[in-house]
Amino acid sequence: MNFEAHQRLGDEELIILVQRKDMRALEVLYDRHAGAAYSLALRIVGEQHAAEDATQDAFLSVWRSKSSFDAGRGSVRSWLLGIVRNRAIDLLRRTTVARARLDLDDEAAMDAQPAAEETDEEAIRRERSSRVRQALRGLPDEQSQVIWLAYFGGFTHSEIAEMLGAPLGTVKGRMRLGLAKIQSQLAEAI
Amino acid sequence: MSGREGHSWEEDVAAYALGALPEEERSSLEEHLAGCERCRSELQRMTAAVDLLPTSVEQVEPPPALRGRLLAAAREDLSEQAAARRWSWPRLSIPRLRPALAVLAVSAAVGGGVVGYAVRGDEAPVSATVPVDSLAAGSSTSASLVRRGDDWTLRAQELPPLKRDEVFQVWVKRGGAVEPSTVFVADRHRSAVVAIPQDLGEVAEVMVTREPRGGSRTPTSPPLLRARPS
Repeated sequence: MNFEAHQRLGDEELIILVQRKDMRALEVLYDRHAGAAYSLALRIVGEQHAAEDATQDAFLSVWRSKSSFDAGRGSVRSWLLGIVRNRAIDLLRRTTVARARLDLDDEAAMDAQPAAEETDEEAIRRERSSRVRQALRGLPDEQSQVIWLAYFGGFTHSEIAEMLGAPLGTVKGRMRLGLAKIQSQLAEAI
Repeated sequence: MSGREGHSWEEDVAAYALGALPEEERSSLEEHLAGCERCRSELQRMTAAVDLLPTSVEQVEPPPALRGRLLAAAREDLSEQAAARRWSWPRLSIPRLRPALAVLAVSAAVGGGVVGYAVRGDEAPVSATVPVDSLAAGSSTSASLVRRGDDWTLRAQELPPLKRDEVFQVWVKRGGAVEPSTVFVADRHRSAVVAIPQDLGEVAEVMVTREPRGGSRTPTSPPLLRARPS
């Protein structure tokens, strides 16, 4: 199969080919998802080389079939980003004190003008991205804070409870309320 | 919905979806989930929200070199597998050329960096041949880059000898950045035919250096060979 034919395949078919060691399928998978993967890794580890390592490790683990995709649990992208997140959190724990960026203000600048030339898909992504950030900003600080610490900081609920001096049950409750609010606000967009 | 005193499983589901449940608590929740429809739907809702979180971060393009490094590492896996299947004694001393209906170029590398992938039998005709300059003084190495359609191949003769733990590595210079490409060794006639995975259409320069076995992220020795495809 030539490169163009690979590019027309859906993610789920690509994954099957990648795990059969089809190099072109790996290239297409990378081209589709490396941006999102690297961006997430960079946000978590805060540094370029570590972000590259986390990204490369994640794609290699897919290539080596160390992780298997289960279609029932969501999209290939979400699954892949989950692997990237785990690798990034591992790196964070192994090398430095975890740095969690709690401030959403620096993200506000991203809601400005779109790029001059944007594909439809890019426009949809940018729009959704902006709505997610809005939803996060709309949460009470205490809820977005615990979600941020958990997801991007890799802390467990008990570590967060200790960091914030809050009861464990309160922390769990805030996670639940915050996520439920995001989900209900963005349910149509998902 | 209480399993333990004062404990509600539902509360743990959000933490679990966020990856914030400590490892020792995960298996008991997973056991519970297997038997609880309500918590499973709650998990679905929570996961749908968690899956949106990565979209909220600033999108940054990864450095171009990362792609080449990933593909080189993936290729090494393939060669290690092939070598393990075909040979029952250590790879170290076995150079091999795969005979070729389908395969244009393979050279076995010391310790496992291998290059070359199958080109289809209905390959396009040669559309360009680019001379490659040998940069080492007094060298008798000659080489050229051959293009068929979008597939580029490096052919080299009279390559210098490599030390035991060395390989040759191809580099592709694009937009000011030097990307690692494939690694190879010469056959016993000191020749090599190497398929280059990158599309060289917009590449300023292709170089070859000596590198430690397995290849490097950036060149660690001066180029032996250099070509300008465009």
